[in-house]
Amino acid sequence: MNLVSKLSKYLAIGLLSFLIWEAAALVVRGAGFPHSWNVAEEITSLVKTSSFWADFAATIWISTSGFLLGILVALLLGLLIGLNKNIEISARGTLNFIRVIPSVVLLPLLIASIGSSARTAVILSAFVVASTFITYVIRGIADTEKQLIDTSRLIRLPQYAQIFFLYLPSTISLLGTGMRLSASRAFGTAVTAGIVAGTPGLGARLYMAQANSDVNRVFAYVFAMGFTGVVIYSLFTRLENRLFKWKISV
Amino acid sequence: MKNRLISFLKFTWFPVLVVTAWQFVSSNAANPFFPAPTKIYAATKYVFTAQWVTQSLATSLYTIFAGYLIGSLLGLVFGSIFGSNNLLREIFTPITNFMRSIPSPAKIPVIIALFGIGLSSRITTVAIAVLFPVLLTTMRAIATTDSHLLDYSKILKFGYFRSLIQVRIPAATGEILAGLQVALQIAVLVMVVSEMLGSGKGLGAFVIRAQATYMITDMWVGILTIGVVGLILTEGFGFLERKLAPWYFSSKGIK
Repeated sequence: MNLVSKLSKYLAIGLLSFLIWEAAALVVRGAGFPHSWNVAEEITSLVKTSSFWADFAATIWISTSGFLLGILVALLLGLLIGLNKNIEISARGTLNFIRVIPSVVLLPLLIASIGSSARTAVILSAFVVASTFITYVIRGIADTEKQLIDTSRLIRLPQYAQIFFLYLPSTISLLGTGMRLSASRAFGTAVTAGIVAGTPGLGARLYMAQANSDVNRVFAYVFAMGFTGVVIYSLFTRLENRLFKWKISV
Repeated sequence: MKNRLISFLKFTWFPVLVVTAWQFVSSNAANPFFPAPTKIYAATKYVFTAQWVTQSLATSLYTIFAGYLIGSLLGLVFGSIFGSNNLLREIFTPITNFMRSIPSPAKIPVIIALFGIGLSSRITTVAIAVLFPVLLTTMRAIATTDSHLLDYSKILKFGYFRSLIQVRIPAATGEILAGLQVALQIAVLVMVVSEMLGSGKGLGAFVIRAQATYMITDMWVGILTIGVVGLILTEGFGFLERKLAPWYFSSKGIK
């Protein structure tokens, strides 16, 4: 697609979003749905404050540490479970149960036992990431080609070499997808913990704005979160394409 | 029979071990946050005799069913329309992508700020949280129909609606079902969060109130009840999709 048609496409999309927004503002006017320019104004004044960036940094820090911690736990547990058929069967039911519980119900337990600091949010994020990512690790190991496994046994490849040169590389295309999903969930959980438990970051500010019924500010924070979500998603898509270019596509 | 017993044991030994260990540890140590399973079980019996608790459960279930139904229907209808038209799809893909990138619980304060936190607000939050992922997967699935199938439907002179309903939607069933399943888990999450945010109604409110008044055993009852609701909904979804879309499972050879 050439530049002009691309530009005009985005212009059309922008215009249409504006019209949809203003139509919504017209319909829900009574409830205080703000005009798009009011929210734009709020966003520009918000990003000039240093406290916004401090909150932003807190949310990113919580998501990143939760993400890394969760990935590490999922890799270790996933290898332990996935490499042994009997353990895999035994763990299946428990893992399924953990997956269907909405993680946010654990927040009250965490608040009661360790309070609502950044640590609470990190633990919850790590839990969400681990329970998401472990499925991909186990499925990836199960999908490893049988011939390769037989060959590695035949040449008596030691266990650690099997893990690093056989199982992990063959899970990698799945792991890319799993990491992208996990990153979005880590961010979402950091925000949710802020909204529900008041842990530091954008989520807590969003809740405060709503409690003060500052509608413009509520919309501004939600927009900031949307942009962050888009950036995280495209960052991981790009990373996936670059890192795993060599993966065997079937 | 013996094989069945062994596979049953393989499935259950681990949870049984965990619960037993928990029971043993918690009755010896005095950690107030992890009451013994027997205590939680005992609490379950009196908690559910209270009328407002059973009402909470009913409210939660109503919220999730209504919200999920509205959101997924809207997502399916608009996803089918946008997905089968290239221009509409080009326009709405980035918009939907942006809306989906906002963490679903973050959409709740918007609704509360506009409409308060009544039952219809909570249903709206669930519907909105469900709408965008369903819309996106449906749009994508409908748009990527096998071009051979579309050629056949052209040769057979199918009109727009006939090719949509008889060709595109059946071909997209697998992806749409996967999207609906993901949306169901999001719906449970958003239902709980919206109840936790000061509504005073529903299971989420029950758990938050138990925590605030330091009724840790009651809180555990609430947590486990929500877990069981999530489990039943997911299992129920799996059961329903086998009933409602048998052609998909038979074509894939999945039982």
